[in-house]
Amino acid sequence: MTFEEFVEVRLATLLRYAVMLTGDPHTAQDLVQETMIRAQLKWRRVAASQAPERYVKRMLTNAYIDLHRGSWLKRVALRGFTSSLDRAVADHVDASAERDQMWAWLGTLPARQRAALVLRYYEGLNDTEIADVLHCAVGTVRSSISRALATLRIQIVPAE
Amino acid sequence: MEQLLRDTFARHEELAPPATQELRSAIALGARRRRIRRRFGAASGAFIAVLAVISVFALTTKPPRSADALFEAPEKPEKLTLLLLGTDRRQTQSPDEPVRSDAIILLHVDPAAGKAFQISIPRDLLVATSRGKDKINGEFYFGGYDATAQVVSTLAGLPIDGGAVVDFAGLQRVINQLGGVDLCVDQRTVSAHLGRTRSGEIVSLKPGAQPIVYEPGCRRFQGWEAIDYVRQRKDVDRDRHLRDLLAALAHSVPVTDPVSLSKLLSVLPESVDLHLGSRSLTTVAFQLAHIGADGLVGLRLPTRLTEQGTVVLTPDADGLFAAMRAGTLTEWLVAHPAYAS
Repeated sequence: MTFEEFVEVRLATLLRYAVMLTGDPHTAQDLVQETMIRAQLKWRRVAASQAPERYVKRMLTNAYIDLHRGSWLKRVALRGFTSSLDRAVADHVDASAERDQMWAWLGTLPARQRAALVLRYYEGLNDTEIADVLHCAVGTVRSSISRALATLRIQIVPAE
Repeated sequence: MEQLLRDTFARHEELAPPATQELRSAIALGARRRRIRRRFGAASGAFIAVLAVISVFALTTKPPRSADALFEAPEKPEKLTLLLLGTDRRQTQSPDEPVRSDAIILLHVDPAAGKAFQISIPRDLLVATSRGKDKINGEFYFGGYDATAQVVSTLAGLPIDGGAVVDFAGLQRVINQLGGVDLCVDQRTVSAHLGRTRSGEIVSLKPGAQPIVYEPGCRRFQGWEAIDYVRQRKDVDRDRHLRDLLAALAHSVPVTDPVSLSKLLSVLPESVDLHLGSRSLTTVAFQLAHIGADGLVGLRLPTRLTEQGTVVLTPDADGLFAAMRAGTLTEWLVAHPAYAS
């Protein structure tokens, strides 16, 4: 598969995945753009892997987690300025809070936990596959998910 | 709960940005740009710094005797602290892309000792900035030369008298203008960046191309060779290569040939961004002229890597900076030979 073919088939899917992670279309687009540039530069290696899509998804997920981890370089490269990402997240939480409470709560989760939720409930992967994408142990996946669910439940209960 | 999550995600699919042609072009363009950067820019700036030095040394080396009287040069040259920044700017880069300083070199000239100390500051060094703790190379992006000089000055407890910002392309231009530079390779160095194809073409290293190898011995280097040689980091002492190039350049400046010199001076302004404050170039030149290229001493800043992966100063750094302020850096270095590079 050439890179161009991959873009043709997968770009829309990756954009949807990125928006589930970031909760914000602009950050999602930046993230996908950056990841795809990197994927193109090392396409030979990506294509040689068993599943190019999984490989790129892993790159994208790592980029997303790094973004939250706050590497200076990546924040600048992706967003231009240090604080704009944080602001984007905060804005988003405000704007959509009324429209969709759950979506807003998702925005408050740590990056890794949110990624795990997206992979399980949006992408429909099983724990082993999630562990592969997140590059961690299966046990870590389970604890991330259960911790994320616990956080969300605490939010929901008072509302009910 | 789980169903709720599935619904929430599904409901927000519409938020996903469309896979537009613009995005595809941006990806293709970004990849192309970065390939170019890999070839040239990653090259980095240290060399660049060299250029800076050169430019200063160049102008420095020896003002014509007869003209000496015209310059209001101080009777006794004073100590001088210069900041040389090599940036990763590329010529193909659009103006709004971030530029970071890739090489940060403090050049401390001590005429009394007859030495110039070259102190490389790690670009990942954690420093106090106006925005809180951050890596030092970010300072250039946010505040340019002035902000970086401010931070370094605070760090060393010493005013920065002036400096220069140089980029990689600029250094190469200067070397080309000089007609190449004579370098001695001490250790076989294999390029990780450039290779030669079967037809003899020089390309960025890729399968099928033989990497360029710099064999030990002395010869004349073209601009691209010299830059590539000092770029190499693997298994070699890059700081020393840099210093060799610097010294070689200082020797190559055609001080006795007014025509060549004026040609060189004409490429300098577009290659080097000089920040000399209130000093004139001739004053700086005069002070540097007392130091031969042989008086250039390399120093490693006492730093350590923290568990968080950042670089911080160790207590020895205080001693180094104190010695610098007191003009006893030579003695300090004798007492702490581990920091000579």
